[in-house]
Amino acid sequence: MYSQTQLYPGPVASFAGVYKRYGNVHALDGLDLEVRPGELLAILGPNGAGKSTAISLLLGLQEPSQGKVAIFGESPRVMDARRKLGVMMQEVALAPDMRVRELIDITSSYYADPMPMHEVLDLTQTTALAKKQYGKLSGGQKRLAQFAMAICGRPRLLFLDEPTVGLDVQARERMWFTLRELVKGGTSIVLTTHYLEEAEALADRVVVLGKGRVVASGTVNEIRSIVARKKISCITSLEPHDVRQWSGVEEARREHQRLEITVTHAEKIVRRLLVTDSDLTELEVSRAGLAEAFNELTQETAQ
Amino acid sequence: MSTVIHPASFPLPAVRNAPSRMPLSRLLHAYWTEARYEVLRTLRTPAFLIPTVALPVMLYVFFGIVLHGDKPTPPEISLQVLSGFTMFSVIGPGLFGLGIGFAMERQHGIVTLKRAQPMPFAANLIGKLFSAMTLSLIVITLLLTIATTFAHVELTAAQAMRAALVGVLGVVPFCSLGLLIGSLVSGTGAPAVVNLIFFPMIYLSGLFPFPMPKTLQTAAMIWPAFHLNQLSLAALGLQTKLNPWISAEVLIGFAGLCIYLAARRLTRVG
Repeated sequence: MYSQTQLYPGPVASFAGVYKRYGNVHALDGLDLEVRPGELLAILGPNGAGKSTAISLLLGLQEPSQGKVAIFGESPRVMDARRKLGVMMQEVALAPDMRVRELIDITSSYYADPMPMHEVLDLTQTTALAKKQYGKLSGGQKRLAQFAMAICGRPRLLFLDEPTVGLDVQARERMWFTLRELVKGGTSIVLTTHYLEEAEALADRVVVLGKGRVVASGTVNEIRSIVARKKISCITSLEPHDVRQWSGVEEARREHQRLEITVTHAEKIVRRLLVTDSDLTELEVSRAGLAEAFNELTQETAQ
Repeated sequence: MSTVIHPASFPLPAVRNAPSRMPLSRLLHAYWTEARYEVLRTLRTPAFLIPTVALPVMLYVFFGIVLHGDKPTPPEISLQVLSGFTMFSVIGPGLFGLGIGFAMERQHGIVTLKRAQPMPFAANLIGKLFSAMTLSLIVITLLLTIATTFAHVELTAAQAMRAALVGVLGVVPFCSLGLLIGSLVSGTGAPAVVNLIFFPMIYLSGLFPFPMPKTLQTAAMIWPAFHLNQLSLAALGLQTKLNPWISAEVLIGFAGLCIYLAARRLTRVG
């Protein structure tokens, strides 16, 4: 196998001071972002954060108003650069009368050195679908077929927009497995997802976009630690509205039997809980999930 | 989880240092693959084959043969009728194939996907043009065969070849018009727009010897179908109303204008 430094001297994709305006709307507002060789980068962000604009600039579908977007050091509009790219888009309805194998065959023809058909089918677990018409596939099977089209050209950079929407748990696990294999093989992957557990399961690095710029970037754990919130959960006779009055408590509510408390510094509150209610049981302290971290980050930008 | 994944059974897809330039053979292969599947899709779609193949053949059999009965028709008239039907069959595949097909693909995000993928320049459109040309060639061959076998039309091999050539090349301006329509309207709206242009054009361009008021006869010249028919008449050795070279120039200009307007629209809105 080639070492990654041999393959990629610089970032595989980059945004440098990128602005994109539509009239008065600033979809991207000075975006700086690099995709490093061999990493799996997850881009998160609420609607309107600039995710789809960033993606369409990266794919060469639009030009930035200002700044520079590059893949493999070249403009995404340069065909030779795009031949190193594999794409899976969300808003696409492929020809229903085409068979899966035929769709892959067409996409393969765009690349200089595509994988053999059986390898693509094997890797994406679509062998059983190969002869089926695309229109007759289930939603999840369609995603798998699109995934096969995205990877058939041995891309060095794979771009996936919400890849596992509509997949059942098994198919999703399989796609995750294949993605990890691809990363091991040296492919860089950029994915957008609404499933935060997907980012947690796969991503080396998470970038959170808000209002057209990077709000936070780091590993899943780093993103979480930026937001220092902790969750305390226990069975107690204390009432949520009382606990909510304590200093350092951001939120307290009852979920079934348990009291769920969100705090910034857990230790002080835990001590107070134990002192106040000696019958307290099943105490758990955890870091807030990526979902909470993500909400907080994007709310801060909105304020 | 019930599915067990065996890592060993997977080929490890190591990134290769693939040539960044596409060899010419691969590039041609890409165009050919698009074209091949476009033809295949066309032949698989009865909703498309019926108006483009069955309709002209049926109408020709009815108007060109059955209606005339055993009355001897002057050879010029039979050739004119044949020319009209051949051109009728040329307009459909381009206009319907590109007009509706491209509009649908745009609406469904396929055009955007292909722009993001490294599809060679206009491979999808060239594939559609090739498919329309193939289909036209099939219909023309059918019509010429029916004409010479059942309608007692006498044709030399050279006349037949020239007529077929005009037909196949004549697909280009109508594909261009189809492209323009497909770049302007949505997939849902395209069939209506295409029909709204197709049927009046067939009548108003005087392809068939239907009675027409004098003013409309003169106005026929504004339609590209009129000029294509002029070329077809010339190919069959019949008298034309205009110098065929002028008609050829009009058609080339028309195709160029449609492509220019479509390209402008597509760069603006995608």
